[in-house]
Amino acid sequence: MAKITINGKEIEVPQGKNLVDAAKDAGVDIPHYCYHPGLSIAGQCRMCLVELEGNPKLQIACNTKCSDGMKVHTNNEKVESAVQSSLEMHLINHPIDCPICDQAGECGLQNYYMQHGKYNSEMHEEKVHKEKVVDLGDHVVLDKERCILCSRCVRFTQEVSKTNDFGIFQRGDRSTIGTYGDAPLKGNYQLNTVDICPVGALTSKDFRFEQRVWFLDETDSICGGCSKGCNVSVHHKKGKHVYRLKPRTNEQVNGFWMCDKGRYTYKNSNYDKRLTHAQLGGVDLPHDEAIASWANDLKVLIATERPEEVGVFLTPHMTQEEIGSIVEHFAKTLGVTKFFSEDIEKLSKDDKDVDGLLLRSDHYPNSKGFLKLASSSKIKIQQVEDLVSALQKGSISHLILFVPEGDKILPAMTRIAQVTRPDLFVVAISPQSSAVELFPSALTLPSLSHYEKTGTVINHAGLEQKMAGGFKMFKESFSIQEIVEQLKVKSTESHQRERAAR
Amino acid sequence: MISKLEKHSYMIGIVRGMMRTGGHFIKNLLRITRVPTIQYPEQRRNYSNRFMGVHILTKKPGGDIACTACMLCATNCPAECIHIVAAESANPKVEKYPAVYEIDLLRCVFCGFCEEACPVDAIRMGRDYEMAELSERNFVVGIEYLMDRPALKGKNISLFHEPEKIVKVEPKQERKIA
Amino acid sequence: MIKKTKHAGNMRPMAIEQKPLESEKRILLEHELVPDMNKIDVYASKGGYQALKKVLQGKMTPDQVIAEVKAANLRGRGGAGFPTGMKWGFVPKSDGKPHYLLCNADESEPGTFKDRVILEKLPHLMIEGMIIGAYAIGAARSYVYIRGEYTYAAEVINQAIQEAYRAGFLGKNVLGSGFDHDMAVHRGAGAYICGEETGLISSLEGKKGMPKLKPPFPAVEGYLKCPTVVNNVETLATVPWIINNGGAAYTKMGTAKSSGTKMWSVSGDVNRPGVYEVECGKPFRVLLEECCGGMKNGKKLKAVIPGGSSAPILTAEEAMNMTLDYESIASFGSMLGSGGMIILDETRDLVQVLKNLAEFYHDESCGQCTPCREGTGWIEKILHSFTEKEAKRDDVELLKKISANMMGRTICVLADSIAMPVESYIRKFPKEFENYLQKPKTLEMKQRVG
Repeated sequence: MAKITINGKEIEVPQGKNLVDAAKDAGVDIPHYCYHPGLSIAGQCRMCLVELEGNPKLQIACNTKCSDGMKVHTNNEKVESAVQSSLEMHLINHPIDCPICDQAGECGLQNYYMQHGKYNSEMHEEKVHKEKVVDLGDHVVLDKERCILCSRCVRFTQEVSKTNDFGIFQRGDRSTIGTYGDAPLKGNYQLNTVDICPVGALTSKDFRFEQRVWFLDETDSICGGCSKGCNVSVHHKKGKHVYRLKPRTNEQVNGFWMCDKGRYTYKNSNYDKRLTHAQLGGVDLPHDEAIASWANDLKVLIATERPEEVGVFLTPHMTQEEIGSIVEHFAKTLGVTKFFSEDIEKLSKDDKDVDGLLLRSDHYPNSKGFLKLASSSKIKIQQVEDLVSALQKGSISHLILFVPEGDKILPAMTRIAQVTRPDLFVVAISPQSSAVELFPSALTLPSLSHYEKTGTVINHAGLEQKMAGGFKMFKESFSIQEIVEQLKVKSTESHQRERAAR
Repeated sequence: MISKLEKHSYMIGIVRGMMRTGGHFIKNLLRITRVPTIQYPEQRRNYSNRFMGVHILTKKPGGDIACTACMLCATNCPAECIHIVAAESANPKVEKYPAVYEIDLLRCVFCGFCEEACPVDAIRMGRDYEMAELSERNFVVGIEYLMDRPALKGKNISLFHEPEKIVKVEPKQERKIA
Repeated sequence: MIKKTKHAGNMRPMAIEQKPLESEKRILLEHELVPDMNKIDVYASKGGYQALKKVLQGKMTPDQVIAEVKAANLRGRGGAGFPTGMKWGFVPKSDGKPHYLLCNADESEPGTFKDRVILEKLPHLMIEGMIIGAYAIGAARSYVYIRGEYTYAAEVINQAIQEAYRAGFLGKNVLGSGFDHDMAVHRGAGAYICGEETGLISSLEGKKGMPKLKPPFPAVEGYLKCPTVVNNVETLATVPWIINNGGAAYTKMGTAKSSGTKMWSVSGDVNRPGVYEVECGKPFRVLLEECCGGMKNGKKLKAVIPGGSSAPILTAEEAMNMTLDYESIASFGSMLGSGGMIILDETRDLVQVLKNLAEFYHDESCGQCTPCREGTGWIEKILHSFTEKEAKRDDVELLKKISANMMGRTICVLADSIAMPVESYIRKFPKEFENYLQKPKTLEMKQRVG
């Protein structure tokens, strides 16, 4: 450990820690553009200039390692004027087209201008003009004029994604970021360059012009794309529409990054894909009634002691709490024994790194937790084919399907739908309409999509992570715990009514 | 028992009221040019220059909408009555333009904050105040009405694109507060 | 094989046929005028490769070589003036990594052409110095990074290296000492910034010529992340003399802190521009009047740029008072630099000169650090507005502010190289700038946004 003094305040930091990070931990924000904790040090934006006592020149904090007795000043006049001048240099050739720039509101230039700038520009010569709106493939748009040449994206593609897409062309103030021949970017990690771009030079095609960032609320969650469990922040507007996902830093899991596939999983949450009302045979009906009719059918089977005729299909695209409530009610209270799912054991066993970075082959976010709960509550999970043969034999008369969002479940659902007799009572609980449409006569109940859920998921490494969730896009969609609870209430209500009638 | 006089005492009030009405009637007949009522719609009142009526969306000299869909007006709007959907323009120099720009005139409080927020003089408070409609839905007006209504006669060109027309008004010296 | 480029002027050898002058002290250029000095046998007949033999066959240890160079107090002749012996001493002794010696022959500072004389006429002097230097730092490979435009010099060096290989001064087991050394020429592609130590290393590594962040310094982590020493041509060419005559003899020349001789490449308004080797500490008058034959056409001296275009300018008065050593020039606020001296007479317009420089540095900025990338362009634009008579009164202050904000704020010193001239030209010749200013009545306040 080393004792360093920042602005007169003594703090203790590990020897050799980067000064920018050390200062941040001590609550001192040293402005920087090119420095990124996940990348190598370039030292070229010259924003992080600080005064180290005993050093006549200002030094860049990003290339300074903390050592014992170091005395740092970040807010004296000398440093402030240097930072302001660096900022001014960044801005003299910047087009300042904030009104049409998607980065506005989360832009490094805007933020530092408000903190360290607030000067009147003395640049009245013609600015350097560069190419705008350069298409870099499916995900990213480049604006060379807005670029401040911090080279973060260059270093990212060299060091992290190893796709080596970006380079700096030309030199001096004619320098531009680009790909060779404006070739499209490669790989599954392109949008990270948009995240690390401190200005609006790299913007996401998906998010382009969709919403101004200051309208967005953030909710912490866990990516539902695979078993890696990348920490994400869900950006939505008042809980009514999800616009994008951004990675949250977690050194243990995803570091600073997330993959493009994971980023687009938010689309399953939005309106066009969602089931918004309870339906019976394709006709909307009040949620209460839907639950009641389900409870009635289930009650007959339970009352006649035929719980083995109830089949429950579920997947690990659910939180621990959701699976727990299903197991609690159906297995323990009602005595249902037939639980079906895809071959999760195999998926989990074969789970491996797909690209050596983040993405994993198991597309369920909670396979480990699912298996853990199944074994702890001694439930035998059967395969889809077992369900198919049971349906063909007719040994199931009440089928409850907890259908997850996404398209990966569709083959299994189609298989089940093929052997479903029209007179079978099917309850399909899903946030999404596509799978449910396969069962035209079913009772369907809308549930919450992945990013609306509050709960715990367990990733491939056995790490338990919490999803904050807590927003609800549609009034009549409920979490699975709530739906199970409503079912319980309705069952006892009808029970009491019957008893009273007797 | 109520006397006949008491029974008809309301007449006093009636007569006094009629006298007041009649007095005004005769007075106005005698000086008919100074009556405060006007012959609307043939006659119209002069409103102050600062009057804020239905918004105007301005154009570029070529006729394209001047708005860049930066949504600062929507951000600044206290009534949340502005709804914008931005889209990619075919012209790469424009980049972003409003595919939909709607103002709910029933929600609008005509405060003019949108005009103040606009960086490119794309929205102005106009002077129209006649906005009777038969249906609530008709009060949600779009680009067609805000930019191209006949009353504007196509003169709504953004000053951002015609900076030579900006008239600079010297600010009055602020009185110092002792 | 060397590709011929379009730079025709550089494909021919330099034509300076000049007898040594009395006021010169030639230790490097002693045999400059001997015909065919670039041939190894002619060089050997004039005492060439004796120093190398003394080191390798006389069983001098690397430490002894370094100690001798330290004793000579030899300072880097490329511009910074860092003591060479100390630089060699920084290289770790036994770290298991290969070490490299790079010879910086990317002589691209405007006004500097001294190394070219050595490269073209005395290549073996440099090669001998390089082998000794490489032995001192334990480098098995060395490279001559030569300026792309020096096509003729590159050819000469290449031939000289091949001769040295044939003579057994290079290759395996040099002179039977067990020391292996290989040497190769690398031609630059015409970037000024590749003359900067770490920019040169980047370029040699096959990357874009961008200076690297320090620390780590090249002596610890340089070419291919191995310990590397980069020395100027003149510095390395001095080494054989020091080994032959001893460090003490070298310090007898010059002043206490600037020992030995220095080669000056003088250009501008003098009668005999050229390369002169003068003992350090001699008055400037000696160089100007005795070597260069005084001012051209009898004009008055206006200003002197003493050490290459990036050095701050000196007024005539300051120049006449200075002596030719590191300390004296520094005491006038300038620097000896590379020894590329530019003499300007009274007819010269310094704003035009500065604009010319600004154009050069704007073009040559690598674009890595923000203050340099943006500042060089901005300075050029402002100076352009001066020469277009569009400048405003506060633009002089603005130039001062920008240059102050560029100074010492970047990875390498290219930003300083334009900031220092801007600052010194304005400070020393304010009248020149005033002449270009608009009359105040046309001053127009523009609203500036952003």
